[in-house]
Amino acid sequence: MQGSIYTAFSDMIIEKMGMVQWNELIEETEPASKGIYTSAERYQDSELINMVIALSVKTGISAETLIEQFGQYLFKKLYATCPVEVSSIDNLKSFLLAIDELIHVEVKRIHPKAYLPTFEYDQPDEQTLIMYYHSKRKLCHASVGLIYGAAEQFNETIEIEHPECMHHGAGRCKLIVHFKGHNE
Amino acid sequence: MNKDPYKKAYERERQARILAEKLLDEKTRHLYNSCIQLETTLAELKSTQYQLIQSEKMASIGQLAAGVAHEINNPIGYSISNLSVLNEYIDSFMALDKFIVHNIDMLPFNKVATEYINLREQENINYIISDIKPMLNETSKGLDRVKDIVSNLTKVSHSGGGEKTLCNIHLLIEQSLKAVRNELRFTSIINKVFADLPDIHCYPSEIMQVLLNIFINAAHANKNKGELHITTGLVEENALRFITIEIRDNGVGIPEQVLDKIFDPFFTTKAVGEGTGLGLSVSFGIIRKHQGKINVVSKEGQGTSFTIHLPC
Repeated sequence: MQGSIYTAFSDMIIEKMGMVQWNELIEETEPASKGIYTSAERYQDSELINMVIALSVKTGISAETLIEQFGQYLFKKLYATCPVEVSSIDNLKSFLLAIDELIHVEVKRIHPKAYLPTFEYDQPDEQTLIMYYHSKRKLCHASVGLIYGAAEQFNETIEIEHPECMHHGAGRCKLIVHFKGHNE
Repeated sequence: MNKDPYKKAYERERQARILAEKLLDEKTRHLYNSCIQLETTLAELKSTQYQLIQSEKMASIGQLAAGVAHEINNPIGYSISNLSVLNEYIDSFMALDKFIVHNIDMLPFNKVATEYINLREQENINYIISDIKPMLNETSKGLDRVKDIVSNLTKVSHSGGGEKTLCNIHLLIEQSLKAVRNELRFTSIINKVFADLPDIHCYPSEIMQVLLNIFINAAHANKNKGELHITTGLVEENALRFITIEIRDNGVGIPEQVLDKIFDPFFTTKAVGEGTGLGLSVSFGIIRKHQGKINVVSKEGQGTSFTIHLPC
C-alpha cells in the first residue's frame, strides 16, 4: 500500500494514543519497514493489517471499527494534499462520483504503480447513491470511513448501509449512501 | 511549561518530512505532465511522419503507375479493338469453310475437294474451330482485365477530373452497402451510427468505390460472423471542418508488419487471382484527390478500423 496511508496511520496513533503506544505497536508487529514510513514509498499490506490486529487486541475494539475510524481520519490527511482540481468540488455526491475519473487519476499521476480499488455507481434517487466497491485488498471498511470523512469535509450528514460485503462472500461490496442534508 | 525537547524536534522533523513529501508530489505531478506532453507530441510526430512518408511514397509510386498506365493504355487499346475485328474475320473464315464442307459433293473437281478434306483433317480444322472461340473469349477477358488494372492505376495517381457534385454521404454509404449486400449478409452484422452531417462536394462514384473496397475487405476479414460498425461524425482540425466515416470490423485484423504497406499498389494478402492489390491504393488516391485523408488502425485478431476524413 502507498506510504501516505502509513504516515497517516502513524499520525493517528501518535495523536490519539501517544508516542509510546506507536513505538510499542511497531515493536510488537516487527514490520519489514521497521516503521520508517514516507508517502512516496509503498509497503506491504500486512504491516498495516498486523498493526490493526494488534491494536484491536490492545483496545478491545473490532478491527473493522478501527479500520473505519482510520478511514475517516485518513480522509482529512489525503484531502489536505490534493491538487486544486479536486478541491474545487463543493459537495459530497459530486466528490464521490469523481473518485474513479478524477481522484484516482490524480493518484496514478503521482504514484503510477499504486493499486486502486474500483467503484461503480447507481443512483436510484436524489438522496441515495449506491457505490459498488471492489478491491483485492477488501478494505471496504476503510472506504466507509473515508466516505464519512468526506461527509465531514463537506459538512453533510449521511448514513451508510453495507448490505453486501466481500468479507461475507460477495463479489463486491455494496455501499448505500443516504444523504440527509447539510449540517447547520 | 517547557515541552519535551525531543518532542519539539520530532514535530519539526515531521513537518520537514511532510513538506518534502509535498514537494516530491509537486515535482512528480510536473514530471508526469511533461511526460504526457512528450508522449502526445511523439505520437503526433509519428503520425505526421507516417502520413508524410505515405504521401511521398504514393506520389512517386503514383507517378510511376501513371506513366506505366499511359504506356500500356495505347497497345491495350488497339489490341482490344483488333481482337474484336479479328473475331469477325474468323467468323467469315469459318462461314467460308462451313459453306465448302456443306457443298463439297457438288464441287465439279472432286480431286480438289478430296484434297481440301484431307488438308482439313491434316490441319485438324474441326478442333481448331471448336477451340478458337473460347480462346478468343479468354484473350478478350484477359485484355479487359489489363484494361481495368490500367484504369485503376491512373486513379492511384489521382489524375482525372470531372465535376464534383453535392452529395449526402449517408446516401452513398447506404447505396454501397446495398451493392455488397451479398458479401456482407453471411459475414457481418451491420451497425450504423450516423451523425447529422451537411452534404459535401465530391465525386460520388469514386467515394462509393472507396466504401465498397473497405466493406468488401471487412466482409472478408469477418469470416466467422462478425460486426461492421459504420459511424459518421463531424470534426474540426486546424480550423478546417471534416466529416468522418469510421468503418470498423472485428475480423482477423492486419499484422503490424504489413500495416504500412496496405495502401501500396499491388500489395495484397489475398491469393493470386483473388485480388489485384489495388483496392486500397485506389481508395487512398481517391481520398487524397478529395483533399481528405484515410487512416487505419488494426490489431491482429481483434479487428480493423478505417477512418476517412473528407473536407466539408
